[in-house]
Amino acid sequence: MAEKKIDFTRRRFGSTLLTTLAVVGLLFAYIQYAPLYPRHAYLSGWVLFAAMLFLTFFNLRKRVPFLRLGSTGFWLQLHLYVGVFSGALFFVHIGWSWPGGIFHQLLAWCYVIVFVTGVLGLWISRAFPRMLTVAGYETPYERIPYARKSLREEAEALVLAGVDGQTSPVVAGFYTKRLGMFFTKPCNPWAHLRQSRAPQAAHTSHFDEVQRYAKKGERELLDKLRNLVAQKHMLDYQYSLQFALRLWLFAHIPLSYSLLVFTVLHIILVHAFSGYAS
Amino acid sequence: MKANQHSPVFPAKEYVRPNLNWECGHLCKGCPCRIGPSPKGKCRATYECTPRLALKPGEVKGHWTCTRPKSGGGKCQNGPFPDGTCCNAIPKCQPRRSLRSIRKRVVVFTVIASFLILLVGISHNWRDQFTNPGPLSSVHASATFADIHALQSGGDSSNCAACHEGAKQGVDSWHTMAFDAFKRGLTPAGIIKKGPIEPSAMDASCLACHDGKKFHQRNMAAEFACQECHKEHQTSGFMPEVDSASCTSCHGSAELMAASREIGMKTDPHAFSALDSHPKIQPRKRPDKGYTEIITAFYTDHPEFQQIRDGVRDQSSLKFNHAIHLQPGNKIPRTLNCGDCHERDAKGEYQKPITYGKHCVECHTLQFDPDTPAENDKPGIYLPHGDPHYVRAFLRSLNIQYEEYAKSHEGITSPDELALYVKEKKVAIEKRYETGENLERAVFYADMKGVVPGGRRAPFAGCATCHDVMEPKSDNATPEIKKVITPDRWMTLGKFNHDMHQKGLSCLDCHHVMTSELTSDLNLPSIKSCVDCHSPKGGIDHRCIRCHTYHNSQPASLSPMSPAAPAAPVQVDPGNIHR
Repeated sequence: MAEKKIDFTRRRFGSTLLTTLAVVGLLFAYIQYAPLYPRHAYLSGWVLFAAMLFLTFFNLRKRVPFLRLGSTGFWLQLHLYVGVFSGALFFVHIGWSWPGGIFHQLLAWCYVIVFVTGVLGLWISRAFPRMLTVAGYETPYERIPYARKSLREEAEALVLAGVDGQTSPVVAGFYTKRLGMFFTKPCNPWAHLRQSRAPQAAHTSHFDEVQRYAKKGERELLDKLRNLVAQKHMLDYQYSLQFALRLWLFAHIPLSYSLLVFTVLHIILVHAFSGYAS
Repeated sequence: MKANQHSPVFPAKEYVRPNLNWECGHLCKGCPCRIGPSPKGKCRATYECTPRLALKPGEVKGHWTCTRPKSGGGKCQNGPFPDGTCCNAIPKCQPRRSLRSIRKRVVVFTVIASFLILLVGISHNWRDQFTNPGPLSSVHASATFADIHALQSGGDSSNCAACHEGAKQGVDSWHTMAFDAFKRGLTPAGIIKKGPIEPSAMDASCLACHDGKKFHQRNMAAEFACQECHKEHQTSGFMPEVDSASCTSCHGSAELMAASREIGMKTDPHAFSALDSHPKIQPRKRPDKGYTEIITAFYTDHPEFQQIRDGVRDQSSLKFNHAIHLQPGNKIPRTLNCGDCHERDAKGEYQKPITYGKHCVECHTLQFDPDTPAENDKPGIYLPHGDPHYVRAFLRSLNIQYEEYAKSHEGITSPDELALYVKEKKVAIEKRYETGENLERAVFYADMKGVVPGGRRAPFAGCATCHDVMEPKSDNATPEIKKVITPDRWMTLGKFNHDMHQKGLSCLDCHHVMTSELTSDLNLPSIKSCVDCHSPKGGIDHRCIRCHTYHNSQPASLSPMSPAAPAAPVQVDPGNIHR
């Protein structure tokens, strides 16, 4: 296990070093040789297009598992490092000046959004699983509705058990007013993404408030209910982070395809308008 | 940090299919039906089970039994209805798309939207604005330009079509044109080719309005496109200034410079510069190898200025000593500043010509008669400056000159008094010089100290103080004074603005004239003085275009009206180079 970890660390260090060297080499070549090669924008453009194709169709690798093309992890690493390199290549291609014109700005913004969402996704997919693990347990995303239902049923059973039909139903009233909706759907997604404990603190405060008016038997009930609320908060936390893990792809993937479409027109335009066509 | 807690209970054995496009509408409540929606998203919920008819031996009707599986709760208590239908109907739901399916739809929608954007963008009305990669320079965006182009192209006033063949053709031909360009100039080998961009069809569009692209130096080894230097679609004002990289793409290339050198050595020297024949500009000799040194930047390997490198001397016949005129303490009426003689032209670039009447006369008066000095409202009598023949004529008509002076400035009008005035002056002159010939010699040959060759002395400095005066070639002829020719400019390959350099610098910072005693001293600054500021270290612009212009004017010998001079070797006399 330890050996595997060392191997992974070495590999990551090697890949990072290689990518850094490639980026530095690219920038050096640009500064040093660009004046001598005035058509370098075409060259960098074609390389960038090849990189884009590679990056966009990274997903295809998953569709052909029967071909022995290396592990998915290896291809993901390649995707990341080629993506970083393409960022430097993009700025070299545009000559460090933001393009003008509607179409070219559209193209450039498209690239930037894809790149930024990629970096954001990288951070999310590295940071969020760690946060989820640190939180104590991990519920699979698809199972969260089941777990929520289970908690809700448990809470409702507790509350119903406390209703005797004679005394004032403090716990039942509190549940109906404050917790009914809370147990039926995911709540406070942004607060959980921000690692905020404010919603939990608000519920604790409500519980403390109700606790004063509860009888002895009801207090035990409230304590159990408090535990269930804490579990629901944890479930919401899981939901928020796991949803974010899937959400960034909604920007990254569709815009990658748009970028390819725009790039093809860009290639046609720059060639057709270059003056070399008869 | 969240506290460690147990995971809430969930049915771990329940089979979940996140890859399906549809999921049960009850999933969000945590109780999806077992059968799930159809692949097309229809709810298939009916009953929790399909009761089975059990017939015991001998029974006719039999009875229905519940078949609900254990995972669904096992057999129900109530059992099926008598007609065989399950008593637990599953409530219908509205199936929802799975997250994966939504993402697929977003991808498809985005791609379709991208195509739509492109279709709208390249439709006829929007095409120019949409595909334009950047603002056109003000000249090419003007209505005048569109009108000119419409005239030339027979009605097409599209500004893009003025330069780009692709804009003239329809969208449907773009892909064939692109492929054509890919096969011609933009091949894989072509895009990694070193050197400037070759001319293309677009240059013909430029040359429809502009003239003179082709003339830079006659020995250019590579012809290249206008767009190599003039970058359009960068800004809406003037086109950006030419980058030094455009210049060094040739001048920094050893191969191209070697080829240029070869061509230059085989070309008629007269074909190179239009400036050599200009009378007011210092003629320069083109180096034998031309201007083919490898230059990658002004501050690194630009050669020393040609005048300094070749040790050019000023061949002017005027005798002038900068040190005497500028250093305080010399026996001169007042110490001069540079600006007393060197006046800037209207553009602030170069110096106006120095003239005797404006800059020298204050100190160097041509007063040959100390007895008729300038006094109050009388100017005194002076020799004319300019032509020695006039001077001689003036001296030989002294009677008339004195009479005119008496009338104009002494207020004498009576003929008798005039005759007396003239006689007195002549007597004084004859007493001093004895003969008219001596007077003439004194005027022409007296030096700064009034010494006339032959031992005589004069009470004034004669022409020879400043000029090279030669004995006449025949008797009774006028002495010859060598004509003074001072070039307006010495460095003709570059432009310069003195006013710009006056901010923070004095003249003496670049021109070291305080010790210059000879007329032949050029007193031009070395390139080192320039590099101190014009370099990354100095922080001042060091681009080639600060000094140089690419489009030199074409020599008259190359104009279409006159045929080029024959390519015969020209003997250049080094002694005559700088006259």
